[in-house]
Amino acid sequence: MNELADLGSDLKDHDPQNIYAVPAGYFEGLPDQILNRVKALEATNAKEELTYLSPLLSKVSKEMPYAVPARFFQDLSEVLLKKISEHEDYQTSED
Amino acid sequence: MALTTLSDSELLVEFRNPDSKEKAFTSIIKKYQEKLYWHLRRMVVDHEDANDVLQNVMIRVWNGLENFREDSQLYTWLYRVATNECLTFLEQQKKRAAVSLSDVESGLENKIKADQNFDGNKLEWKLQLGIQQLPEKQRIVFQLRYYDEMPYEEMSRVLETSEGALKASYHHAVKKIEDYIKNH
Repeated sequence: MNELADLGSDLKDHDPQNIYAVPAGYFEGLPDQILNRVKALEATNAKEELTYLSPLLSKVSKEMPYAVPARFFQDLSEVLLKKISEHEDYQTSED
Repeated sequence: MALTTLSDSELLVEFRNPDSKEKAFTSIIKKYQEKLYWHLRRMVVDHEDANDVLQNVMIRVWNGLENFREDSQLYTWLYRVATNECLTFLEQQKKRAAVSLSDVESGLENKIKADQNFDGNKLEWKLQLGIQQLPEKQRIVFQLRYYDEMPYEEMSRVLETSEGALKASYHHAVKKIEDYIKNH
């Protein structure tokens, strides 16, 4: 305070209070949060890593919810070979 | 000869032999199609787009596999080809629509909501929506680690990024998605 007065600064009259807000429970939860980050960094596989990073996400099903047309995977290689053959025929006729 | 039980190295040998090339290619597709399809589908959301990109990827594989030098594993190379093709596709979409990235992303969000199975109350759909909030590259990192459980060392070769940067990116992504799910 004296230093500010010596400098002739108006700040000497201000009470140095923190005006920033911190989320509720931030400091209480911080040690665990940091510890979990450290454990996640040291985890040996993705599953273990996720249990430390986010217990919530580690419990969500990884089953993909999107719809896929019936027989898509069964027919894909055939469709592709046909496409490649058409493409090669086209290239041959262009030569 | 059934090629379904062959290792990647054996499949590559068969692929280089003109008599077994098609059979080997079919086996490679069957072995990796679902992993690659889902990797792409999670990025582009729409089935038709994922199918288009997957077909382009496999045509690139057909053309490039003969010269594949096996410096990396086949699986790593396939993921790299697929990821690059996917990023190119998303880039083209942005250019074609002449819209900003955020517009493309909200488009992806709308595509998720348009899926015939969509249920906004279910956690797995909230997760899909949460994933779409991430920037493109971070989305790829999240998908590869969360769904494919890819080791960082492997991912580093696919994405040509350091392991430390990938780890940090994934950890941030998990937090962002968790926050999204908690707030929606």
